Amino acid sequence: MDSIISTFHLDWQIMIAQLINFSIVVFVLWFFVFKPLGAKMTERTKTIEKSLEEAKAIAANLQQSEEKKLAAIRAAQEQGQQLINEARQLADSERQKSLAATQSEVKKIVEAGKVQLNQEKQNAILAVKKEAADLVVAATKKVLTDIITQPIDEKLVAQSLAKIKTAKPGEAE
Amino acid sequence: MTEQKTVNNLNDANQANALNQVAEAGQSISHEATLFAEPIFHVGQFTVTNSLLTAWVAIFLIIVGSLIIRRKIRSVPTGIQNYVEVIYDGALNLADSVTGSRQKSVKFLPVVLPLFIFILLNNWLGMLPGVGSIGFIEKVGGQSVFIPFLRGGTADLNTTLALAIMAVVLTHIFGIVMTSAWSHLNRFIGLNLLLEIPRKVFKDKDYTAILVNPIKFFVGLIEIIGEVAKVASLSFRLFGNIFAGEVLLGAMAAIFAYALPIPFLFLEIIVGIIQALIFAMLTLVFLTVMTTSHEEESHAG
Repeated sequence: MDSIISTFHLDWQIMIAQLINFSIVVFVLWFFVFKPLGAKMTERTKTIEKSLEEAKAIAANLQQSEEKKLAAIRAAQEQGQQLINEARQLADSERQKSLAATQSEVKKIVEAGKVQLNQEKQNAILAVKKEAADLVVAATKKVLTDIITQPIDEKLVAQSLAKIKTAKPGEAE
Repeated sequence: MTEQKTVNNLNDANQANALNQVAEAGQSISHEATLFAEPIFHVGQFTVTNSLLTAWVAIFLIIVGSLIIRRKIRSVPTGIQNYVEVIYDGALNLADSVTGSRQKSVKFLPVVLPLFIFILLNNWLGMLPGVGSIGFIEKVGGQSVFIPFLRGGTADLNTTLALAIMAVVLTHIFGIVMTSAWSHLNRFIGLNLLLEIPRKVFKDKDYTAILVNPIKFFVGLIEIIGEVAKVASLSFRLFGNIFAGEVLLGAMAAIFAYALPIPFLFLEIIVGIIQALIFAMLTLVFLTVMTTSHEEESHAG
């Protein structure tokens, strides 16, 4: 051991001095480099992680918004379709109602027309009958005034009136 | 040591006078590379050697560099901060591969990385022009000896031994703090091994413990010798490589001073990095081993 000490001039004072030197190096590097650098790197890592998380949250929100938008569009489409269907149904119903009412009205008008027509027809028939009777009476009266005696005359009139009374409306025309 | 006379307040005139005196006396100047750092001056009882001076230069450079880096540190890295961050991050990843835990790496790196930087700077400073070649002449035992003002810090066993002792002591401090004093003590003096023999024999009926545990106990004692070996290994490896490199460069320069030493300079640059890395990595490995509890090691084994 002594030979090693003398050969290499080992000196505990120099060793301690070198230890102090190294301690200074450790302190300086730790205080001026590693500590602030580590803090900055950690801070940056945290910022990046936070940004990534925020970006993820934004992406999730965006997706959620997109889904909500699509859902809203889908709901609106469904609602619109429902409204259209309802409107169609309502329109159909109204049309049916209107058609029924119109048909009923037309039927009523037709019925009234028919009634009126029949009435007028009856009236016309009666008028024609009366006119024809009057005409026959007048003509017969004129023709037969000279030749027909009173009894013949009355007999013919009675026969004509009986024919007229038994004749159908179409035949009379 | 006492016979050595230190030439104080040297200047060119004094050196010229010394050289003239040597020339007049017809003596040759010894440029022999010594195994030890030469004293340059004394402060009271304290001897300042040329290797210590180089270490101070290294410290000065580290302080200046650290202050510059400190001023440049920003949230958004630019310029030199980018390089420093790459080195720091690379060192952390490298440490992770040894420790296997980022938590441990963060604890050990403030010791291991300065160790690497300090050793690397000392290794490289020893190769700079002027270091080992500018100095003064001193009469030692009637012979004129050239004493360089500066010598590579790690080309002095005092430096490497101090660093090695510190590294090994730190491994024990970390070991005690991180695994408990009892666990750390049992790594070397396996008292628990002896204490558990009755339990293993009578309760667990494990009769092999009678033979195995005493062997383990003695293996633990051998570990103590291993700790001394660690110091010797770390210090002599670094000192030997760097000193040999300086001798090699000196020899090459002596053979042919122009161009011939250049390849060897590159070689020594690499050796400087490798030796600093080996020292730092071994320290990291020792720290990792010491901070892994003995039980965990046994289970892992």
